[in-house]
Amino acid sequence: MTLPDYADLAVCPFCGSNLSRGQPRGVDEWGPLPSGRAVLVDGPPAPSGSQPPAEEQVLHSLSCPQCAGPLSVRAGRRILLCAHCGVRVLVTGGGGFSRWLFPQKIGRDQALATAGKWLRDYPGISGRAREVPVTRARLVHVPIWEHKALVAGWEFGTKLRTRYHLVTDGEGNERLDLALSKEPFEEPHLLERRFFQAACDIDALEATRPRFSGRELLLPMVAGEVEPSSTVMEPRGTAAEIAERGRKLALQSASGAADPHGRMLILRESLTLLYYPLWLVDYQAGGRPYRIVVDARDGSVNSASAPAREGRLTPSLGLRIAALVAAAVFALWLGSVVDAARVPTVFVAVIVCVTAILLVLRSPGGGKVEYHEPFSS
Amino acid sequence: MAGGDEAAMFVCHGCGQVHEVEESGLSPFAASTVAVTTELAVSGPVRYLAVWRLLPNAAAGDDPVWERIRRAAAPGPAYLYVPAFSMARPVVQRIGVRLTEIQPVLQLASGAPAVAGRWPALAEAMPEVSPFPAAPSVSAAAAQLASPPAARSGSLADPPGFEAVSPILIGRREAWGLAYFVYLAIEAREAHDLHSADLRLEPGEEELLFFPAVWDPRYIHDSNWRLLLREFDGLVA
Repeated sequence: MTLPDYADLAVCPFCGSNLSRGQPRGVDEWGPLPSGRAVLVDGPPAPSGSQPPAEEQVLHSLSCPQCAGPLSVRAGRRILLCAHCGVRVLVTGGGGFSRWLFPQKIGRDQALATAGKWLRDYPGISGRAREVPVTRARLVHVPIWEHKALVAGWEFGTKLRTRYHLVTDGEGNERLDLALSKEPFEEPHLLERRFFQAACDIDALEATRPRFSGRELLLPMVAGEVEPSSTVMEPRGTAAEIAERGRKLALQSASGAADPHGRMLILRESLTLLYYPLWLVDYQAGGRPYRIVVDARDGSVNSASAPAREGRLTPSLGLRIAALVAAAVFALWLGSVVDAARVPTVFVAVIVCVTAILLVLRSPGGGKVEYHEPFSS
Repeated sequence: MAGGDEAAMFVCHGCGQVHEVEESGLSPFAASTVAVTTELAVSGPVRYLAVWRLLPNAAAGDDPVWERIRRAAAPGPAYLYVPAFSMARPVVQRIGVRLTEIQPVLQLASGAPAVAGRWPALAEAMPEVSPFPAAPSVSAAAAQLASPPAARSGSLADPPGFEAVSPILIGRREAWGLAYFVYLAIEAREAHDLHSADLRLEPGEEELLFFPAVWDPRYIHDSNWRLLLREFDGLVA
């Protein structure tokens, strides 16, 4: 894995401005870091004092090469501005991937309060579970791969389109008729495509992949930015695999044509590992463990489970089951009266009965209430 | 030195030197400025747009579109042009197609356009008389970092977000990829069947040129840019 090499002053060497061609102070330092220095980690964080394996882990200090002031760092930025002396620093890189962090904005107490509120308010939860004290919460940082590709090219082929035709019948009446027609198309593309993939088993955490656009403010994944008690999950999959998959998806047809042909190519691409903070709030109800996952970035409930209300027929469920039973009885009666319709009506009655049984089994009284954040994956 | 996060190359407004980002740092890259040859009056400030001029090593001989471009360029070589100042698809396509089809005769001067009064050394030696803006404050830096990239790039109808000299957003390697895109755009206008497009581009020489232009919304077919070249006189929409 190759990683960004160093920071270079982005000023001209030909007309008298400062331009550092060498490595700035602090680059390639390893181990305990002096306080007050901004450091960008590219590659997995290493234990204190260990040596980075060649071409795998490199630590880059992003202090200003001119005045050693801290440099503000944000994902997607190549020009960093020294807040102290105003020098602009260019970060160069030749591939590999960088690690970024969604800033955690929700503390433990807030997460517990959110989880408790969800337990109290969400419909269908057992009354006893609503009273359970929720006191255990731990923070995890979930890794998510992001592949960005700038794609250019042309797509062509044929598309099925609906067209109106004027149709005249034998009596001279005219009407508009819809018809499908195959039409050639050519579409140019110059666009950025992003592909996200969870780098750990999010389902095992009983969470869902959090929603984000990829354009949020991110921080470099540095020791000082992550809460010490947080569990940073190890990423699954290699950068090469993810990049390969990202490339394949980036070159997929964007036209929606039936038989697309494309002459597309990727102009530039980048791979990033994003760490997303989630609070895992665990509690017990009725001797069984349950979990509420709270988004530590925006404070919403990412996913949750709770024991369902004790098996009781709610009025709406009772009405639905009664309607189904009535339909089944009617079908059986019809089958007994009309000989020719006996087989189909019995068949319909069986289907209606099965549906009624499933309704009862899947009703909230059946076991567990689950919630997953809408539009997440 | 001009160039933001999306810049592929950096221009020094003081001396007109262009720098390319390499693994080892910045290295100088030769660029040229195209002289104004228009015979019409110019209104509005003249801006210089970075455009790649590419000379492929070999191209398919049987392709009729390429043959026509070669005839237009004769007796000189046929170039492919790729705008480097914008990542917007219509801009790259329209201006790239127009320049490649027209194959203008250019008068070149060495170096990127220099902007008067932009000498960083002077700014450091005599900050009190510096024509350069002062070093940004912490709050200004934070504001710059906080502003999303989308907020800084407008639509095609908006005036350009740069002053005299455009940024260079497309690098050398990307320019060859976009050259093929531009070529297919020409092919799409004429052949109506891109299956038959048969151009094998082998990267050859590339030049970075700065074209004089005026932002003029009447030139909708050139993405609101009027190139100040004789060949483009009278092409208003």
